[in-house]
Amino acid sequence: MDGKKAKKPNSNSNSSKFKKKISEDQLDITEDQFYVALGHEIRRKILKIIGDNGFSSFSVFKKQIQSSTGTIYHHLDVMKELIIQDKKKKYHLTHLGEHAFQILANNLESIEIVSQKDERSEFNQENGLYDFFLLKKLFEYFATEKKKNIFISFGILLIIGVLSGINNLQIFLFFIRENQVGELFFYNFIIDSLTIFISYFILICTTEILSYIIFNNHNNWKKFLNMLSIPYLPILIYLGIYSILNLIIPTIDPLFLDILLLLFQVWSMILLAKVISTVKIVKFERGLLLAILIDYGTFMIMLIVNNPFR
Amino acid sequence: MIIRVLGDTLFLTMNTDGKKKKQFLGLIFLYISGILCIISEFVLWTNEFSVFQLFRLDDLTNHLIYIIPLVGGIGILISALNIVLFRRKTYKFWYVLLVIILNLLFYFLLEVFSNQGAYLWKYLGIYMIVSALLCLLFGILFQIGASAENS
Repeated sequence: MDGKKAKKPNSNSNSSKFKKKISEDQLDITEDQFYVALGHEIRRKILKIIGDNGFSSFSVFKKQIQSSTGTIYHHLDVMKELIIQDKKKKYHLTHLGEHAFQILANNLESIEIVSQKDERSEFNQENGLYDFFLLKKLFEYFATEKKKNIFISFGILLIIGVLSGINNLQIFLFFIRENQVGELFFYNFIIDSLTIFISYFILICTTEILSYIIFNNHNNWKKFLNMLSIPYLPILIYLGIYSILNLIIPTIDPLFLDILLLLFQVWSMILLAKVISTVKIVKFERGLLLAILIDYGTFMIMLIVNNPFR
Repeated sequence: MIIRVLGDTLFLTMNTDGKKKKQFLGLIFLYISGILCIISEFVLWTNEFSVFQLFRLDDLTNHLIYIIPLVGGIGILISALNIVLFRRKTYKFWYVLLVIILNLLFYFLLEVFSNQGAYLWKYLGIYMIVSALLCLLFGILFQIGASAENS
């Protein structure tokens, strides 16, 4: 439990100035003491109140915890390595306290997610359609740490690259555009195949950066290398349908293909949300939030480039 | 530095308490977005026409996209009702519907830009739909942020 490793979560400037004065030597604490300090509901509440506001006072504790003065003083005494009082009698988190607060904030959600997985709810058991669209079995397969998963991912991307090259389409994240007329076929083929790999790495970087900025969560980022190919599966299916329809019915209405693409894009976004929630161990809604931000960003890039993307 | 400050602000916004506040803001933004979408269907988009007048039944396949703001607006209002006010158990379906509408509006904007050109910015329609898109983004973000919070 090194104080230097402690992260810097939300706190105001007064609080951070105050904390600089605390020397690292003061944080002499064993692992047992650390968990004892987190081992009571009132102590966790105190940590949360200070962590949320940057600092707090005894009257706030008394008001929000609704316990006796003696009890609160007892718990404050137990937490003496995690909190510290300034001259104005305000309580602040030490670096170790901030670390503990961060652990609590991250764990609360991940515990809930994992316990939900343990519960085999009726909805999950009976709704086959839900499992089918969220590719439940594929997720279970990819969740295992196998080296060949990364080759499967790159295989999926390679097939998408080849199909997009054959159909003269370019893929940027989940948006697809037709190539300019007049360019050489082999040139297009190479560029289209490369674009999908570039877009894959852009997706990995964007997702990781956004999840770090918004959730302050940079766990398991290597899993993205394996799993972020899953959201591309609907695009692969779309490209397959597109190729077949172009062969069978060359005069097919482009509007039909556009609407089809739109539905597959939404499916991709839902899968992206699922991947983020699985890798980062956060709620599905938070994953969806990131997926929507990524979708919006991609659309803005499309609009700025000002090409007729479909 | 700027990214860090922005990140901290976003992190704070997403993690502070006030689930009801977020839900309320989400509802307001979604409603404004839906209403703006519906109104944008009937205001001027080009020199003489609103988008609704460009929608023609005789050549349905080419003009179907011009009905998107109206349909999208109604869809947003219904979704907002079901998610926030009625609090249906099937709320995930309504989120998916919102995402579909979001992508429909993207598609509509890209098509309109490629068909009508940049002079769209001279008329009111494009501003209304862009404002509606922004409100929809914030509405969805607030609403999802509220749903993701621990109850």
